[in-house]
Amino acid sequence: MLTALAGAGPLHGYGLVQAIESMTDGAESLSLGGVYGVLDRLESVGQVRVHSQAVESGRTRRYYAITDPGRQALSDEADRMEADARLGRTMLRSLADGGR
Amino acid sequence: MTLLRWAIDHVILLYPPDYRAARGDDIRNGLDEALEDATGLQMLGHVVSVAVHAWRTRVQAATEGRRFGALRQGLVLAIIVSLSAAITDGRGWDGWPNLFTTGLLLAGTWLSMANVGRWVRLIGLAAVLVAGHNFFDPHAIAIPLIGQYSAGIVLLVFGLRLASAGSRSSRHIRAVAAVGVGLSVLSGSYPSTQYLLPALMIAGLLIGLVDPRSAIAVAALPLLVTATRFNWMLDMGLLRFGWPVAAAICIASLIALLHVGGVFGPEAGPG
Repeated sequence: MLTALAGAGPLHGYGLVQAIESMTDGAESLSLGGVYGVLDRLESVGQVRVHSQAVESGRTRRYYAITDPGRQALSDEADRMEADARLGRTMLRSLADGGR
Repeated sequence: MTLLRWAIDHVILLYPPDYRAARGDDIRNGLDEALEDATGLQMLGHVVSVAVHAWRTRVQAATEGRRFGALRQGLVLAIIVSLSAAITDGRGWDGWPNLFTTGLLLAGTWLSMANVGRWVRLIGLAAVLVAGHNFFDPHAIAIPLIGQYSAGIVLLVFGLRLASAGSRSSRHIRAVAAVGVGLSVLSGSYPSTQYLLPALMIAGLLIGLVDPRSAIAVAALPLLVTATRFNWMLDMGLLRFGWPVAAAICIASLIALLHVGGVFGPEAGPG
């Protein structure tokens, strides 16, 4: 979700669902209730904030944006995944070397 | 569509008043748009997922930062509904095991959704598991039908919620599994349907195959439950379909319980 917000800019709840589906070619899709639950949690820890509000069909709609702590959390997670991938590749290489 | 609009109106009402005032419009907009893009089961899935979020928000607002408060509220809720169950069951206090099981189920469900630490929610889920253990035993305790139907409906709701979540490859099969469990629980009081149950449960085994994260997380518990329910499986004739079927029952039930409790699932991660 943070990746989608970082990549696609401020989005509303359903916009996030669409952005995630689009970014993953439909491989990942979130339920609407799940999206609002995560937004609540990310907002409470300061990783996203309400960027703006607009009135559509007579109803207020909120747009969310990633914050600096959110970008930091995303960066940390990307580092962790990169380290895991490096470790995996190293182990695969040693397995291949050992098999020769 | 009219029915869906009616459902949306009532789903939004499930949110606590403060939350509804602040976010109700936003969520309603999202739901309207999601329904325009969705078809069939997905429509129901979206409505149900928002309803689950609304109910969890309500429970969490009621238990904000109060671990023992959550426990107390869960117990009060359990006692009220248990007493109602005792009255409708017609056996009064002779039906005390029904009170115990119904109470345990409700207190566990409440705690598992409360705004408390993950470990406390896990204790709630354990209570649901113990209550579920009795639910699935046709000899030990006769659960009031209202309780059985409630459990079936909860699982059905869970299945519909899954239908609109998760990766494309697994979402439908997980939904089928959960709906299967729900239908089985709903129909479980009729002996003639006992063979329908294992057939539906096979879908549960597939959950573990397509969603390794959940399968790993609950791998130990199904073994435990399988062992304790051995006699029951014999009684129900389930073993004639083999151990994979028995394991499927446990895996499907447990994953359903864990997902319903929000311990796992798409909204449980860091986002």
